[in-house]
Amino acid sequence: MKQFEVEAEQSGEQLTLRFSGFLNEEADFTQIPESQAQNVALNLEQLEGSNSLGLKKWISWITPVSQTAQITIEKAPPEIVNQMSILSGFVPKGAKVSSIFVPYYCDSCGHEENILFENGSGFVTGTAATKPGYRIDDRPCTQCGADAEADVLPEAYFKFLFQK
Amino acid sequence: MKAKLWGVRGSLPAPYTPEYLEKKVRGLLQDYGEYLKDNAEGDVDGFLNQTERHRYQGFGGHTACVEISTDSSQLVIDGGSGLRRLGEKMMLGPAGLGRGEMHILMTHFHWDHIIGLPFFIPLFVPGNDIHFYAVQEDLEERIRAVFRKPNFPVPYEALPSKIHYHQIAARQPKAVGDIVVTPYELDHPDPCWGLRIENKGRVLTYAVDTECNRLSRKEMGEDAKLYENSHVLIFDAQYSFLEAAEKVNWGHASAPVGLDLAIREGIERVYFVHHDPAASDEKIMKSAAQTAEYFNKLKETYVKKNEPLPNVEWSFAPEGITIEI
Ligand SMILES: [Zn+2]
Ligand SMILES: [Zn+2]
Ligand SMILES: [Zn+2]
Repeated sequence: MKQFEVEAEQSGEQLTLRFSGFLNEEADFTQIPESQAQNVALNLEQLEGSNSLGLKKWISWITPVSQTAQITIEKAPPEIVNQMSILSGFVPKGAKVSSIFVPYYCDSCGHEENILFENGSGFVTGTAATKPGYRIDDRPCTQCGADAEADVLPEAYFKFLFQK
Repeated sequence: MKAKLWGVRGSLPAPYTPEYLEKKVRGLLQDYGEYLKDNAEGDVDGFLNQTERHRYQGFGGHTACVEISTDSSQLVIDGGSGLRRLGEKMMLGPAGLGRGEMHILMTHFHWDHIIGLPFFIPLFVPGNDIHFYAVQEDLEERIRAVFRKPNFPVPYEALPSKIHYHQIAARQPKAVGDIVVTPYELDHPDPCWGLRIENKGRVLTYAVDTECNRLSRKEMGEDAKLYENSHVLIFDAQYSFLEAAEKVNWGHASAPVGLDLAIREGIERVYFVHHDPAASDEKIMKSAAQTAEYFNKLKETYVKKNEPLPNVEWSFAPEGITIEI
């Protein structure tokens, strides 16, 4: 597993943080620069996964941030979505999940691929007026064109949508 | 070396309510009715063998008390309500004749770790020698306070047994017979000491009560030795992962955290204890299911990277089990 790292990019009111490596107890959040940004986007695409010790550190870091800024979580990979759904606590109160990856598997050629699901199309997070939900369809395999299927138990994978 | 868990609840003893017990009995009777349809002879053992253990035994309601024993020595950890029954057992031996010598090590003095002391019968038998150990300087005062009127009818001064106090040094080994104990500090609202307990090359780590605010070896510093090269871990899993994360400074942890520490340190087996007094047997089983799901996904993540994790055996411990270290 690679070491956990954060790359920060500030533009106006927006702070984008790109995380990579494995989130464990060695994760150092002090490397993130102080910011007054109103919007904080967390890009998780390069995160390899997390254990509960890393998640504990993540929660201590993100809870105060979420009280002063609007947090958006982008491109969460399957390893993180799983932990979001099992342990919960990954997504702080009031944060938006804008996109997640769903692993797909093609039975015909064995190709595996992570497909990006956007909030509003593949899944919706609940609001005061709407219920959360998800929709999983087969997708044409990018290698052979046959139907590829989502390689998850949807009820378990999308559980994070239904947590309060 | 063996460890018998005389109490596995945290915070407060948790006896069943009559309503809850009735619910359990009804559920079992209903299932037994179904079982009889296929097993006309109705053997009860057969039925119980195929029923989840927590449904007919539960996890138990007594608070922290562990009996460590080797062929020649015995050491009791903490005086929670589980100590009463241990005392009753001891009364069948030399303690009942006033010839007992007992050693009790206190991790800290929260109610759930002292509430059994006034009901420890060997204390009331003249001739018994009872040795208390703790890192805390005020050990004697803390034990005296348990017997102070009007909280308990028998004043400390009237206890007929001989009581001895031993303050032990932090992070220094202390031998009690052939059991060697080294205390390391845990993360708890009042000072509380985890114990590294060794005998004949085997090591048991007792890490109860702790919130694990210090997680990495670097953050733990000297206290990281509590877990190093240990074989068996008894760990505070009072809450589910999210509950523990929300209850900042409540001083308790969750099973996934203990499991990750065990994985890092190569510990073979983990027993989760200090169950929340508000948790039903079903709620504890839910935490166990969450832990299993968590561990499976973590293993998958590592396998994908061709870095398979060591296997760790783990369970949520019920009261009364004996662990072979
Ligand atoms: Zn294909
Ligand atoms: Zn306790
Ligand atoms: Zn405590």
